[in-house]
Amino acid sequence: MIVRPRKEDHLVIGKFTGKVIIGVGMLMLIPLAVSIGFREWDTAVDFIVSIAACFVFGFGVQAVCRTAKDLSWSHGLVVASGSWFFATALGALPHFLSGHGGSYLDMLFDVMSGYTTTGLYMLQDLDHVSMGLNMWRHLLTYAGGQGIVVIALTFLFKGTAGAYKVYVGEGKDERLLPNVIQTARAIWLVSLTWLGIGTLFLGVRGLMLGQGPARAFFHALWVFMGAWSTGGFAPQSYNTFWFHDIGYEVICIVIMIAGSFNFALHWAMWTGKRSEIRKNVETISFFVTLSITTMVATFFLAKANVYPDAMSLFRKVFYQLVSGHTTTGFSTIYARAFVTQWGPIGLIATTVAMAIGASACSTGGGIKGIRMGVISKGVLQDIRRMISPESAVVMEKYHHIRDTWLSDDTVRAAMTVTIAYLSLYAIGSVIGVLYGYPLDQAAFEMVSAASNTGLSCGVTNPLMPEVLKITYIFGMWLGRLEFMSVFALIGYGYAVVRGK
Amino acid sequence: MAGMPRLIASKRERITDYALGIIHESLWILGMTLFAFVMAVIAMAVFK
Amino acid sequence: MRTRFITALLMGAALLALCAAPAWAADAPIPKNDPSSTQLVEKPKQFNGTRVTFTGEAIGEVMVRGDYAWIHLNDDAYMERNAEEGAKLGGYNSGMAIWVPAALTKQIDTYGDYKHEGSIVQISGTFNAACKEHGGDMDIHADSVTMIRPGHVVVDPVPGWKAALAAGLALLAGALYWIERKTRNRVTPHRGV
Repeated sequence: MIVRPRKEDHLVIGKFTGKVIIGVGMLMLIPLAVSIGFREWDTAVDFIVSIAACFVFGFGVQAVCRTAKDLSWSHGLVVASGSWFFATALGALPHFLSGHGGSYLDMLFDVMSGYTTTGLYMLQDLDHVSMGLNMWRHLLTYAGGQGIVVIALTFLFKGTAGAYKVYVGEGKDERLLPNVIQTARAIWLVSLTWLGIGTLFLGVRGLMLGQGPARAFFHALWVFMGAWSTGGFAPQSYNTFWFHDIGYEVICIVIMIAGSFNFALHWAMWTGKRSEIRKNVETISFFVTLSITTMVATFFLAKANVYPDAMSLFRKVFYQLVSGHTTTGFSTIYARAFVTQWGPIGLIATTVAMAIGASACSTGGGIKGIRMGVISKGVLQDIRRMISPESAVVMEKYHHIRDTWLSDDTVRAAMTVTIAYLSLYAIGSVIGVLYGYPLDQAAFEMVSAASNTGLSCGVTNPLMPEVLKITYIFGMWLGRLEFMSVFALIGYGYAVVRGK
Repeated sequence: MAGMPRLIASKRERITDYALGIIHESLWILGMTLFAFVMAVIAMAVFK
Repeated sequence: MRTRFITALLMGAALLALCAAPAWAADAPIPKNDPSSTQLVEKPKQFNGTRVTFTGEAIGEVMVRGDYAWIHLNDDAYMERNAEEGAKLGGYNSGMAIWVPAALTKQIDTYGDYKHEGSIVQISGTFNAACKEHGGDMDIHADSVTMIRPGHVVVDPVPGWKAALAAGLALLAGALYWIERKTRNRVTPHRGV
């Protein structure tokens, strides 16, 4: 029997969703300040409208949803996905008001892409976009990478029991520290420290490359945000191809990979456990799969004589593969070049890298390294059990911050989510093929969306079929929240309608 | 206890730890990058 | 009498033509790219190493590196007017990266961004599908640069309806905030939230 949610449930969910949306409104104060600083008055007014709309929603909902009840697990999941829904709808206002959007759906696509740190976009004439709007685009990925909920947790939630439930609902479950508020703050410390260092390095390099000081700074800040959040938005339509520089590329590679690491790994490395990086199942899995996919792409592209020398081959292949595997989405080649220069094997190698993705509890997407590690160990365990005497007890261990026995439940959970991702990839690819795209390109693009990577081989376009746009929006959302909280939201809706 | 974070670290020790952590992470990544470059060199040698 | 009248008419016409000339110059026709940036990306091998002429709006900035510089020229729907000025939306930006002697870039007066529509510039040079000098970049090494049309400042005024909407929503938000605060204390105090 499905129990229909009661009024109290709606009130709790409404109240906490309201808090998150107020947080979104406050976040918009940053691009507003940038617009005012650069005297972009039309953009500034766009942000005033949007901030006011967020506050109207947030305060309005809070005034209506008066309750003293705290969040339960099911509430937490619904708040996580519900907040994302409203944050996307309202976050698209600045985009839409700028006039660069073909439709509101297109701008919803962009904002979902930003929050989920995907990086595909529908915005047109990006090269003429304001500093304020560019600030908002990149801030979306930085905030989304942290987790909109993590941001709200830091500033707006006081109680911890309910807060943890929403945190998990957003797809993180690492407890860096005993208290979830402390965990959120530790995540901020890591992210902000890297922000300072990364922006400095990129900014200095930009100045060396002939950029003016304002552009060098803002491009450095925005490219950092795109790299660390593994988002992939960049301030020009040329993406990071704009800089034509190995130094910029290497710095981006460092930031992209660091950003794809599990926050628990960062915290371990930062608190004395420096051997963690070579013992952790996720980093081992990542380095193994990155090496394999890079080797395949390198050898096939060398054979096809696409690049004239080793340095070009290395710079183009490794950058794109790292961008794909960390699910960032930066590129130093034109989107169509994946098809016209790299060809099917290059596309497939990149697709596999994107599908596997980054680490858990990071800014990255995809199936994730921990599941690859757990499943591999699970298979190994099964093989060992088969060849051992019946009475023997065979258990594998894996290392993730601490050594853990591999239980059947863990393997099963990993396999369930992996199957969910693979199904999502497959369904979206089929829809792409039904609209006439070749399979390798349709698969590349859908995997890019659902793993929140954002590399494009040219399928994504403001003129693409609306159904495909909606497919990718859902793919990005489901992929980012790892299915559970979106299912909870749907289940909640179902229970409201059909419950007793 | 090897591997336990130092619970009662001074601020200076903590900042040193953070810095060393960042440096270690970066070095590993740069090592990976170098490995990729070597692969490219080998690939070009094989196919040229 | 008649000849004087005709002469005056002809001189008047000539004067008018002279006055209109600067307007003509400002609207100098933009040569259509063949190959366009899209075509170059679609068929890189075919055009690799060939000499091309490319026209586009200078975007962003010039990055001077020693004696040479990078510029980016866009030959898309926003070449003449950008979206902020009300140009009809026509897809993504598209263009080419150009490596050119720095001295030749000095004539480019405006680079395109939110507040500017860049100069329209024509270059001639060699197209590289994967440039050896630049780590495999798809670029054009140009040796000549010609100004076709100067750029201009873009004016983007705040429309009245938007300003009114902003004011209205701000007031509403303020009112709701006040209401929310006032009704807050009516809830039974609960630890934590």
